[in-house]
Amino acid sequence: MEETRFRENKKLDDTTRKNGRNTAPTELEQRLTVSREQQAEESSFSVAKSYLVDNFAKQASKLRRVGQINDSDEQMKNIKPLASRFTEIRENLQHSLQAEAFTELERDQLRVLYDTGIAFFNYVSTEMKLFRRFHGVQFKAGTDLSLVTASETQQQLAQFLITRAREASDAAAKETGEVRYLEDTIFPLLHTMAVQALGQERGTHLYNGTYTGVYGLAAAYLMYSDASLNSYEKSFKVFFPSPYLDALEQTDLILFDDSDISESVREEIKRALEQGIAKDYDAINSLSPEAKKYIYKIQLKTRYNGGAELTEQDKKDRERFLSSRCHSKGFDKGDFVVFNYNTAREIIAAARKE
Amino acid sequence: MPALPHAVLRLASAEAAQMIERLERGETLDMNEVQLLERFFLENDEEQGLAARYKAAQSA
Repeated sequence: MEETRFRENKKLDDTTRKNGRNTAPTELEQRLTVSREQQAEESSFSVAKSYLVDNFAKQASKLRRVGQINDSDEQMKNIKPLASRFTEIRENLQHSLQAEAFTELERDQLRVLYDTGIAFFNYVSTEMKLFRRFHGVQFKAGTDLSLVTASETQQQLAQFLITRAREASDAAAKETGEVRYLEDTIFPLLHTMAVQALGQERGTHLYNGTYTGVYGLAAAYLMYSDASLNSYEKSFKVFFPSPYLDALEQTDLILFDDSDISESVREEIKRALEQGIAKDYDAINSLSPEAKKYIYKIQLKTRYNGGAELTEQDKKDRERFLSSRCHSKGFDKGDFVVFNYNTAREIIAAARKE
Repeated sequence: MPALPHAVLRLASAEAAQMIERLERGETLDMNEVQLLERFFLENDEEQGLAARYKAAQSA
């Protein structure tokens, strides 16, 4: 099918007037111009994608330099330009998204790439304990927003795996018949950022932690969706809860067993799920006792190495999760699952063959 | 109502404006808040006024 490419000229005119940047081309525009002049086979999408990937890698590298500064005042001085630079990159991207011919899918995917990149940067910087030094910010156990944003990022990445989202068109790739997926761009970028920010060894470890968790989350989603893959032998409707529920209550997935249910309870649960995912993280916990019978809370742990057996610590964690997150809140059903990374990959690979 | 601030990870215009006001008063945002603001502007091209204030406050 012919792709629809269009320009948003009116919007661009408005933007350029307001921003007063009719004359100076942005960095991204310069790259696009060079690519066109060289008659390169790269599409505008591919050039914009490289622009984001390169700049996020540079930002991560600058983060490492900031982390090496011992003087806190000096560190503060150097942190601020990092945040400002994100704004510049976003503005350049937005400008080109309006000025150049992109499909809607390409626009969406470039926005996703930017959004995921900054979220991961946030996660890395929190791991480096850098931004805790900002004044006016209070970090309290259990209400650390970084946990929430890390959880949301993990959910977003798992969705790429589950949906097997294909990357938007690329002229060069089209000719060779190559199929690329969003994960093919995003996971290597996150790996590069982790390595740049923290150095090879720690960076790789951090990246593996995120990556492993994402694969576990995606595999669990698929496993509980398919009756033949889970011990309950049920095909659940599986939901990612609000990232707040994950961060505060370690609930990675919500399972909804709608196989034998009255219409009124189904409606109640549907409303709570919509509310709980989008706005009120406590909506699931506020369900009626009858509705709670159809909800299962799941906590996941994914190991890069080792088996799926529960260690002594896992057993304690399991007990804590079931008592304080499930039973005490009126949920009889819940599970604490330990995944092995390779098993998770096998589940995902099998689902992709179907 | 959610017990936590920013319980919706996507900001409303009023919430974004409040963060920018803090920045304008000389307070510093943490990286989480920067992320929320960056996402807000990414998805709301029409908020040119707020975007200009954010940029000016960042470079102040």
